[in-house]
Amino acid sequence: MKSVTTLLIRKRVIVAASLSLIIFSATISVLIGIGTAPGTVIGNPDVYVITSEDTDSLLSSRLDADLSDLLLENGFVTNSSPEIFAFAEIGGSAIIIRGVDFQAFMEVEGARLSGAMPSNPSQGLIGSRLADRIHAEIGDRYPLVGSFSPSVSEVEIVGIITSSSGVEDELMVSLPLSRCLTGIATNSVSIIRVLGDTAQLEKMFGKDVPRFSIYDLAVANRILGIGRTTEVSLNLKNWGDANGTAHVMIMDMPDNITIIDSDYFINGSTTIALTTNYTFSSIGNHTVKAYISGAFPQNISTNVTVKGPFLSLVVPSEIPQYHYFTTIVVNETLKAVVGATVSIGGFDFVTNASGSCLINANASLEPRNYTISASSPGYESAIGHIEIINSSLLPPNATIRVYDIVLTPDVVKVNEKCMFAYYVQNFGNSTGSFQVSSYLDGALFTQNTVNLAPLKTRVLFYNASFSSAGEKTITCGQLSATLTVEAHFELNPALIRLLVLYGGSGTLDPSRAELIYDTAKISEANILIVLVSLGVLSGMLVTLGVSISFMREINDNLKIIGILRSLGASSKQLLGLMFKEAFLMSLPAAAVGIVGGVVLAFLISNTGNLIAFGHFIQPVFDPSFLIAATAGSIAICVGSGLIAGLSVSRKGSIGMIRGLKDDAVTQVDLKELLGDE
Amino acid sequence: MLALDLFRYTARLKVLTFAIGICVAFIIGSFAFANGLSITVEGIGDKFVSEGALAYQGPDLEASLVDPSQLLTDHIYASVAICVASVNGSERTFFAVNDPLSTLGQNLVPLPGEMLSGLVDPLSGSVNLTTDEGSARLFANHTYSSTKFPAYWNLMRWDDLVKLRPEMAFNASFMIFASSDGELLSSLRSQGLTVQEMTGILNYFAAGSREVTADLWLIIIPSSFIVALLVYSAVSMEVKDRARDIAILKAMGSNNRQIRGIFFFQALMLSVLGALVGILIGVIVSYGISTSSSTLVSNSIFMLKVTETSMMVAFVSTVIAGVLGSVYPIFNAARQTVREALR
Repeated sequence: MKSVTTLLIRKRVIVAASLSLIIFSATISVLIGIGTAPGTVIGNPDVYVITSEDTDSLLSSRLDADLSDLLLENGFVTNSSPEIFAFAEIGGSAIIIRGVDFQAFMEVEGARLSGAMPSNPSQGLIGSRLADRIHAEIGDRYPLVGSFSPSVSEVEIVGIITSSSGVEDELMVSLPLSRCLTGIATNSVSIIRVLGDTAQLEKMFGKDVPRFSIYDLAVANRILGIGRTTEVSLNLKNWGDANGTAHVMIMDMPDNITIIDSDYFINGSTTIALTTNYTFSSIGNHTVKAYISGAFPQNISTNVTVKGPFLSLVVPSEIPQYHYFTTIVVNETLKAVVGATVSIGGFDFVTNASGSCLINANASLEPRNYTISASSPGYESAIGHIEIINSSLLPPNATIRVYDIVLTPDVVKVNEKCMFAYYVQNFGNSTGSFQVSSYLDGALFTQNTVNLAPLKTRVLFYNASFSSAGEKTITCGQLSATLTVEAHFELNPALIRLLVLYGGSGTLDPSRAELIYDTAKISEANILIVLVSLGVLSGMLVTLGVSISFMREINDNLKIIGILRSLGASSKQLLGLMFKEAFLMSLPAAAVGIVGGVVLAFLISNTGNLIAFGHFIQPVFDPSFLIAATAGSIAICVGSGLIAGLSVSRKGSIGMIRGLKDDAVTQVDLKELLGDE
Repeated sequence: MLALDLFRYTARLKVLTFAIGICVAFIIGSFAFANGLSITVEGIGDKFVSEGALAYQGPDLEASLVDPSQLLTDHIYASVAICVASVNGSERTFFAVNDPLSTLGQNLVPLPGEMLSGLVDPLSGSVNLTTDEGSARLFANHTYSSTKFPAYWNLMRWDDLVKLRPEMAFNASFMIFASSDGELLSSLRSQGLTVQEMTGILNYFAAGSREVTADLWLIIIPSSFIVALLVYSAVSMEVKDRARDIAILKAMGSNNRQIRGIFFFQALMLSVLGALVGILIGVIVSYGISTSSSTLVSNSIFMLKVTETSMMVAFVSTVIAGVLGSVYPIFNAARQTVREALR
């Protein structure tokens, strides 16, 4: 085999070029690694991430946790893992905490477990790389504080997981624990990662035809009196790009009455609201169903309870024997009911003009629990409970406390009014005052001071409505009650929730996982600018290193260039020669540089010190790296050869042969050389 | 004084100075990125007001024992005791709160004989609790709700918890302070406690920023290598081009040390000049990237900040790399005999 010979650039330049290109390749690998680091949040490449629509960051993404189960039911996905992100610092290291359903998480992640699966909410798993970093072992406990608001919890590590994704750098805790850390409401999660036939889902997102969905079917009141008119509303969305007509029908079941039955024309990517007033004609539970026909038929429904007039009874929880107590009877609008019959222990009493009646707990009512009822013609009866206690147990001082909290209704819709009733009684034998404070999800909600005579009862009523769905916990003293605020819509089948609530085509997009970096407001574009800048600077830097090596070679062979020039070689020919030789040198230099760069990057990554915001930066050695490194290395070598060539191609031939430099304009003076004045 | 005119080849000097400058700019730019990140993190931190601190002793909350009577602080706090007890064969976490100054903003003391379940998997009815140190029987008729504790923790009275864990009669597991400041944190740490601010994301961002800064120290390796290569090549060329000068100096009686001194000084000056030019380029480029990112990217808050420390690091590493890069050609120059040099 004939060896390649070069005239101007000796082969030793390959050493310097290779060393430079090793640095270049390793730098490129690490920079690509930094750029792809956010993607490690999503896990394996075949995992799809669902976030809420138009969310700015994982912090603000909120999905209904039920969606995870619904996705499994529709058959398109085989595994689904609802997850919540929290953030902490342990031992000086930034830690990403992932709240998971452990079983679902392990199925989606396909991770290997060393140790045990958590058996209670206070246990968790740790990624093997993070375990190495913070020297964690099975059995260790780590106190955790809330990510965004104060809270305290602790996790016990019971297993170490090994995976090919970024979860190796994370701490996996239970969903309840992560909710404590983030304040995310019960039944909500940050993201859902799914495995399965995502192609089928994406196919359904096609936008070139009209695609109709109905959502937000709402009846203004969840419970209402018969004969009252209420508003029924529905949103109809065309999430395709083309215009089209949809046929919508809304029915009142089981009365089988048509509320709406019409065609609606909608432009592409547009939503219209359908609204009508409707009066339910029968008492009982009604289901309002909305239907849409076409290529993607859909039906959704919501439930309404229609009630007749009903009574409510205000009665103390306990009363000493031989004392009088008052009961109050009101109707559904809190108006006093006159002439209502109140029954206790076989005795009947009738309410007066203010809806109350005075009852004597005399000898006939011996100490025990009683059921007390109120009835009136045309009203649904009310039932309460009271305990007659031994008079000797009556405390001499005022003893006031809240003995019951009643929410009417305890399930409301967003912006629907709910009545809070706090039942306060003085259980002592002296008059006194008491401040009734209630808290909504830990924050002060209502506050009122009541004065109560001995054994008297008072009910404090408040009305409130809420603009967001979720469970609200009201506490007052040691009592608590939960109000469920439902979204203004109910959807069925569940897939529609995915299509309409959580996405256009962008929703099923792995790149959404990069939002974790938006957490720190460091957007992908910002990162890209810095990475590209560093990459370009790195390229320039290596080009300079290689150029100077080429220059040195050419400098050493200046006489040869002078001879070629004197034999008639033009600048263009000289540059061509240099280009050819630089290219020939660049091939082995690039090969050595890339291999060396991979080794160097591998060695750097093995130190385990390349970490950014809790995630290990894994140098990338994929085809994108090979293309960038190879093209970059050859371009650097050739460019460097030309830069070096340009520096001499226009020099005079005689000067070069004699070894004179153009810029050596001063003749060395012996006296000057010796510094002898 | 024995000397060569320093920079006879001015074109080469300019190119090399600029080249070294690019290397230095690389270091400056990288550290400016890390510094900008720290500023970004501080900005994010400002959006989250730190609300209190958690103080405990030892590695974890379950093992922690803090004697409140020994605690020296003016800040108000709530004491919390926890224990893990067995209920019907499964282990559950129970806690009791002593919060006379309402640090937690809600009453978390059940009635005597009762306990309050968390909202996750609540207990109900009569509950028998046992630990290795004791037992208790309580009624679980209600639940509690608090954003401060996990919903699977169960609340009991302090005196009931002492029955299960007698050492809690005079101790607490941890304290929750209503507010925190640097003085409180250092005071508690000086008393042997582990302290965490109660807003974890602040600690997360601060630690993350430190990690990125630590990563960027690696940038010095390639930059310094290229600087060394540049100076090596430059001095090699210089030695070759000035072989006659060296020969004359040697013929006139100069020793090797003097010859080395001449080229060492030249390498040093080249490195220093390059570093200064690089710092200038670094500042300009960082400012340019900051400005362009804010123009090109909506919602950009990216800042590149050049600090005195980063300039000093870049300067020192460049000069050291330059000097090291010049060692081999300088010793080569000194080793040349007059005959070899004049040939």
